[in-house]
Amino acid sequence: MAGARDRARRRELWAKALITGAAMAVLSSTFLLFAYLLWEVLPLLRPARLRPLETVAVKGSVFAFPGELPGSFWTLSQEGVVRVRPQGEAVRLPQVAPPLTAAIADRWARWLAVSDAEGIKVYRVSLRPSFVGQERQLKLRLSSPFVAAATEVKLLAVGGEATPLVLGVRGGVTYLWRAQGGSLEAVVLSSQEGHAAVVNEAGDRVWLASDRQLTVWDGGGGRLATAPLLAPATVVTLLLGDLTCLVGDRQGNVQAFGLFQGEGGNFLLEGFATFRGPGPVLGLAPSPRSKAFAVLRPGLVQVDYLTSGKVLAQHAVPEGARTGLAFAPRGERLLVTEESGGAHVLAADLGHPEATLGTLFGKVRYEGYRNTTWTWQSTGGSNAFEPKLSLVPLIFGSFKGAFYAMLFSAPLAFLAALYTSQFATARLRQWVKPVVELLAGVPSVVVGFVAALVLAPWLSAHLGAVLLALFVLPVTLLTAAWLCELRPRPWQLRLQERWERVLTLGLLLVGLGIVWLFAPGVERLLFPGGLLEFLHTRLGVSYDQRNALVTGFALGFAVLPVIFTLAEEALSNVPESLVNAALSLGASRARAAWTVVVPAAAPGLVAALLLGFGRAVGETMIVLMASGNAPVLSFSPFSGMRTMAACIAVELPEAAYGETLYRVLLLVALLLFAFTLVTNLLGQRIARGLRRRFGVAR
Amino acid sequence: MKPFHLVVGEDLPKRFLSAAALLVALGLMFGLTFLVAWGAGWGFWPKPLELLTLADGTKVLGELWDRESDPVGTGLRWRVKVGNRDLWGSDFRVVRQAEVVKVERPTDAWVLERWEYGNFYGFVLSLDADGQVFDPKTPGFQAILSRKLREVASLKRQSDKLAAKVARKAQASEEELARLASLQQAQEGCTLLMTTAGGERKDIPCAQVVHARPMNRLGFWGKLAVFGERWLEFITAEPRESNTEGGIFPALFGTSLLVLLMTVGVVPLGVLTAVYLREYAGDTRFTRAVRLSVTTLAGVPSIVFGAFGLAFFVYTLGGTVDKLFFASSLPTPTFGTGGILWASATLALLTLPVVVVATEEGLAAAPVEVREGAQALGATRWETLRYVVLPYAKPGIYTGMILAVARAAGEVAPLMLTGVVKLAPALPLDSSPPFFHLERKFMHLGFHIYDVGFQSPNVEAARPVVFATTLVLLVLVVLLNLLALILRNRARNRVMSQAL
Repeated sequence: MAGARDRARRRELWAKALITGAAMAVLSSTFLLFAYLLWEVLPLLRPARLRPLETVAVKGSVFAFPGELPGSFWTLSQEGVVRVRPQGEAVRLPQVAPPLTAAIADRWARWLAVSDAEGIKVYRVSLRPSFVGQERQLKLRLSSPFVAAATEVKLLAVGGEATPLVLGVRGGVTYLWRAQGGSLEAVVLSSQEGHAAVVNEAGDRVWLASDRQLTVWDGGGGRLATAPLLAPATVVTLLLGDLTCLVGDRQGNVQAFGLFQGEGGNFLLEGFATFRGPGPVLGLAPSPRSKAFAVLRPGLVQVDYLTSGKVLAQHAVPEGARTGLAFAPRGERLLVTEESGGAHVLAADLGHPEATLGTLFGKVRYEGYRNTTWTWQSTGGSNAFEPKLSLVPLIFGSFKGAFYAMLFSAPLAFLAALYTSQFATARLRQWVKPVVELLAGVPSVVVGFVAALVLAPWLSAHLGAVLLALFVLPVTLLTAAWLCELRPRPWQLRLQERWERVLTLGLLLVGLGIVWLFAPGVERLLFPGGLLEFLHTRLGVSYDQRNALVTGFALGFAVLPVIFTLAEEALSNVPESLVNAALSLGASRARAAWTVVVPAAAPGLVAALLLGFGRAVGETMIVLMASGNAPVLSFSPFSGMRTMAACIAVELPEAAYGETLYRVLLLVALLLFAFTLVTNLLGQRIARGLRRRFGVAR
Repeated sequence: MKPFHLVVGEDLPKRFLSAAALLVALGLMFGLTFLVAWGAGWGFWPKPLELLTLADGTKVLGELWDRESDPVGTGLRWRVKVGNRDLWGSDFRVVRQAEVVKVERPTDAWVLERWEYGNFYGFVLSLDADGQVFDPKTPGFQAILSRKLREVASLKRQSDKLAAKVARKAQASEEELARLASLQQAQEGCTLLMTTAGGERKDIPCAQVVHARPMNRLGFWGKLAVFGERWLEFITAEPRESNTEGGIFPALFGTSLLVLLMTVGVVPLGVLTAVYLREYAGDTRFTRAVRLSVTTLAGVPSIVFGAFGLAFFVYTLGGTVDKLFFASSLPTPTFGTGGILWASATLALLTLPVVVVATEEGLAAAPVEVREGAQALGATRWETLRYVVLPYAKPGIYTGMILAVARAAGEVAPLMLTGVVKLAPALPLDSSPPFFHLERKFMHLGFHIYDVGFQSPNVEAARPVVFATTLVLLVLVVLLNLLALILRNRARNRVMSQAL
């Protein structure tokens, strides 16, 4: 007997543990939902960091550059020998005549120009990782040189695509050397002495900074545009993508310039950002991965980000480190060389510089744009593409879609709820509510499909008729209603209450018939060229087939049951005694509904709208299919939009795990979560307050 | 005399407007259903083949799909489905009515549904089967043709099965290869020599043909039979031609398995939570938090669940499982990529509130007298719950389950992030051990609609398939909802009658 009781007690305990465990699992999974999204978003805030890795000896070399593999770099000695570290392979430059007096390379170290006893020699350098046995090693390849017999040249820049361009100063005059077969031919570029220069990757733009001005030339030596500088320039470089030129000067400014084509095809050189800092700028190095760049000042290396205008990170280096600032080909390391022969390697972890509060929500001037904009454009064709991650178009799109949805569904749902709760017979009510519940169950993909593939083409052909119907139907109904109640009496049409629904249906059909008959004629009369044509040419409104009107209609269709159900509940919960009081004072049933029930239930109606709005903002498939998904910032009902939800659905599967885009999209999800949470809680709170006021038990 | 005083109504306008709003709302729903049903029915109903002769002498044979007003001049223009994509590149051709001289319905026109390149519309010149040549004018040709097609189809099935088996194994035996070759050889013996309306000739191997039908010879019953056949094929067959033709069986299967897995997860959790909220705990802070979390889950947009599913289930949980158990196949992910397990877990989270709310309502159905009676007889809390309360709550639990299934079957957005694909190479449940392949990607009805309707290269030709898929999904979901509704109403009525 005792055994049975023990068993029962044990079973009781087990059951309790199981049941409590389930409740805890629900609570914790909800918490996890929020916390995990937050956890994945938080790394966006991680600051960039520069960390010293090692110092390597490069004594006796005139040039050093980091390689693609971890810990690798290569140097060029005065004797013209290239050494690849760490494996220590040494290759002598072909046809070199030591000692070298100077050596420069382009930003990515694809071209190497040296000046030796015979003149200038330019080599194509290729340093790629390849497998040697089981080990990955850097493999060096050097082309035979392009040669120019010009000595005593101060080399400024080298670059180009298939053949090199070299800039240098001799005797106070700036020359441009272009390849002619295997040799280099000189052209006088400017009679002034250039301080710094850079050649773009395509080899058709040459940027030259002389004393107080920056000039752009095309590859053939034709001058394109000029802009003044704040102070004498020390360094010039181009950011990844070759759209922006950075000029560092002696006063410590780094100015960013963009080249734009003006109205008449002439070029304009515009400065659009300035980064200030202590001490003169000694070196500039663009990141090979993003729009970040490193700045070398006496005793200091900084990494700045062009788009946000921020200093991402900085790190102290010895005062003697004055040359050789360069990013490794994968952008994860920075190299800076000391004159005494030591090269400092810094680990550069740039974090997520594309996503800051400013770029996510503020207006930003992106590279290649002349104005600040809110733009969402997360992926592009090339490596140099800069992701534009403004959330404003997405948030705007979500609200626009929800707004048009409410415009359509709120009056409809509200009036339908009013009828169902106040005027309808009990039998009708019994029948309507389940039907609306079924409507709520219609999958959104079905609604979106019909909206996009059936409604959208139909609407673009019958826009005039639809707009006319929006006007004609209410007018028909109201006119008929007014006629029925017209006084003096003899003019009045009589109507029994039970015919009301049939009559309304008839009136609706009559209205639709009128629209059907007259719409083509009216449209021809008002807009001889067609309504769409009129919109386009006269009002400058372009009509997208998948637009906010279609989306609003479909979304409205989806949230209609939500609003209806809640509004109906709020209206039905108003105590009968209030209505009866109004009726006994002589009010008609409609008047009682309008002046007593609606005001009393107003908070509930607001809650219904709020919850409907929240649902519309979060809806995905309908918007994805019917809105066209273009992230534009236009409130026109005839243009599309891209909403937060649709954006996640489209882009998150493609976003690489842990990348900036992935985290930003999860931030969008988190925002969506927070927004719907707030609307839901608010809506429920209002509805609960109302229920309590009317003493309705849950 | 009293001054003329016009009073306009203040009662009826509101009544009329609100009645109209209700009518419009209901009308929209029935309109939607009707539209989808019409589209699906029209798409599968056999359409006659019209032979149009144009003014310049060209002949066009095909089905008239759409007509719209001609932008050049007055009159109409037709969009004709002419098929023969291998010859002309496109399935459709626009014909202006003004150019058409003659319209006929030739009785000897045939439609060949093929495995590749869509339909072929044309005339049969002859059937060449194992050296024998049959003329289409000979009586009984249709029977001969369908017999031959059936034979070839069965050979093709065998050889496909064998080929798949050979492909799975690294080394195939000589015998199997020989048998495969002989099967393939046997299929090649049968060829249909066809001609298009314009007179172009085309040899079509019988193995390429799915169905051959002389459409214009069919009467109403014949057409109805074809209609039925098409629906049957649609439900039971694999998709063809990047989902624009053929059936939706894998999508139906994927959807069913998905909701099944989800139900296994969500029902126990939801029921236990509801029991906790209603039976076990009072109004404590913890209960309120649980209740709040249930309402929160109910309000969160489905895409957020999808994002969470991808970030947590797929990347974090899946990545960990891969590192622990499937390290040998890394970096190719096994569970670290979307799959049916993660998708159903995500959906389980999404539908949890539905089950909780419905179960709570069901639990409320157990009258206090009965509970007290049980306890008076010495039953513990668990025994009361197990033997008294839960039987009362059963209809509520079933309602919640069905509603959850209905909700999950129609949900697409979270699946797009957690493992749905347009074409799955294998079902997540098959005859190779361990039979359940929960890491596999799957197809889904709702995603099928999105994919075929929006991402397909040949959207127009795919229209019948999209509409039919939509109808299947709609009917499925509405029926489930209806079932839940009936169940709940019955339970409520029972409670009411007991109360009386």
